[in-house]
Amino acid sequence: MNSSLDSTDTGQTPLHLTSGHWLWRSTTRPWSLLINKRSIVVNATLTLILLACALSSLALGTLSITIPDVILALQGKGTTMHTFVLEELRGPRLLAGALAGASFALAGCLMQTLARNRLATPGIIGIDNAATAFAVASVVGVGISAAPHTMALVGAAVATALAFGLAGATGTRGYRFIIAGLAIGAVSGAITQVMLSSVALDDANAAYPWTVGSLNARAPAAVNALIIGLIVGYTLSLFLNRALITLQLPEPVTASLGTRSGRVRVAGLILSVLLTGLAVSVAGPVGLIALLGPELARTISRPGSIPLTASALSGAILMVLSDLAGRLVFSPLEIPVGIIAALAGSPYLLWILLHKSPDINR
Amino acid sequence: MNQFMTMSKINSPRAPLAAQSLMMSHGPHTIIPHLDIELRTGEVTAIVGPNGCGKSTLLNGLARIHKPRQGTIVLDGADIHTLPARDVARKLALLPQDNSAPEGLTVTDLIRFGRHPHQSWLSQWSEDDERAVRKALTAADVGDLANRPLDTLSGGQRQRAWIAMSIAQETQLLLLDEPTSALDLGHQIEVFELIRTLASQGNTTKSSPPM
Repeated sequence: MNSSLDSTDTGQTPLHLTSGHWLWRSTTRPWSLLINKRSIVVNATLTLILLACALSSLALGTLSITIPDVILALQGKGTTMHTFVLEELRGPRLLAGALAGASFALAGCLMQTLARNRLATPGIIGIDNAATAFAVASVVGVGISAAPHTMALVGAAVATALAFGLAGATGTRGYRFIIAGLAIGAVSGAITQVMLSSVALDDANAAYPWTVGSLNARAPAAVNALIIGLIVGYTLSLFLNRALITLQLPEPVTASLGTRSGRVRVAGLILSVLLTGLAVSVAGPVGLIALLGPELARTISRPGSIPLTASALSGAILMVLSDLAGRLVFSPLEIPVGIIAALAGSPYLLWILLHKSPDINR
Repeated sequence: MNQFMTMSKINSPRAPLAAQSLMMSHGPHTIIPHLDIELRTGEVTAIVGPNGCGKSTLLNGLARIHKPRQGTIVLDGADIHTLPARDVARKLALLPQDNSAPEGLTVTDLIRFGRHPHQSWLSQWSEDDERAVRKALTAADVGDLANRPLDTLSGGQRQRAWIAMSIAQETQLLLLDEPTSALDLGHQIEVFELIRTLASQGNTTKSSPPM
């Protein structure tokens, strides 16, 4: 062992501590930026894939439009028919789907990181279910006059507050919070079923999209709220990122590095619930996106990073693809996006349960 | 090897870390009923005792991971719980007993975590950061392993990487919880020598983050 600490000359080729990064240092101020090349490549690739999926989603359907025609119509030079289909039908639906998917997956990535557990996504711990129960209550008219999408947000907040209260904060590993959430989700699911079975068939049908997750039932006001919520939530989560990274280390180390993990957890949890509630209010409970998106992002991202951007992009891609598949497979019949996501996601969930450690770091 | 050590460096007139009438408990169980302790400068302090005597509890209290039931922890003359977390993290580092890191993380990635309290959004990789990480790599003798993922290392190599992370934090005080428990005899001696060297060179280790 080298006993002199000031000696960095090990007699070997000098180590590049920042390989794989772009380093920028200001010559006049103590400012420096370290940008990881892999993150840039991953996010750029995901963005391109999302664009390709978006174009396909615009082009394909009961009425197929060729890609050049889609581009013409987007430039305002398309036929009336094409313009109508793209601007009134597929465009808004695509936007809603991509935003909801991004929001679900970002919320999932945040919550998994806070709880250090890959099963701790808002959907699995029952926030989606509670949001759905509140939305359904509003649709079938249980003496509530607020719009369903507002109620979805309220439901998400109530479920989290209950889970938080029952578990006594998040705890370091988040297990108690997850169990409390599971219970609340189960109760919410049961309440939804009771409400649906005790109202007139028309009301139950009106509430159906809320129970499976569909991009048919979206309200313009909910989409606008989601746009704002996603911009705010994404920005704030980027600011949290510096602290979130240290949450990957054991709790005492996190604290030793100066991170107030309690505060970070509460802040991240609020963001996660807000994003989930807003996404449910647009698309219904498509919670598996919150599990699949971050997992896909984590697989292709650099070890030790929190793939917030990559999760959001992956979630958007998965949502757009699920919706596209739902529209095409039994066309002209439409399968709700939530069912496609469940079909694709359930085997994956099983695989995690059987083969992977729930610990997010393993 | 049931021992852990507390080590302080930097020569200053009074003890930088002290506990007064400390009482620590886990729920209803009192682990440490009453303790006064001063950790002096430029010294290695070893705390020895059987399993379950409260060594880790004391360290967690001193590093403000757990709040004491009674008593105060004083760091550089101020109650540690009133100080900003980041300021404490620049003066005091704790390395716990069992550590796990994200899969695929390399030794250098891990050591860079030690620079976290010295960094900010606008200062992500300063020359001080680079120098401190290089020094830590050399000090803990993990330079050859710098680019190896932690999960490919032996227990002893991994432990030295974690110690390197704490060294890179460049704090006056380093609290190590059983730092040699995973090591073979040869490496145990090396770690003890490293700790003594760090203590004796204490006031040459300067931390000056640009703010």
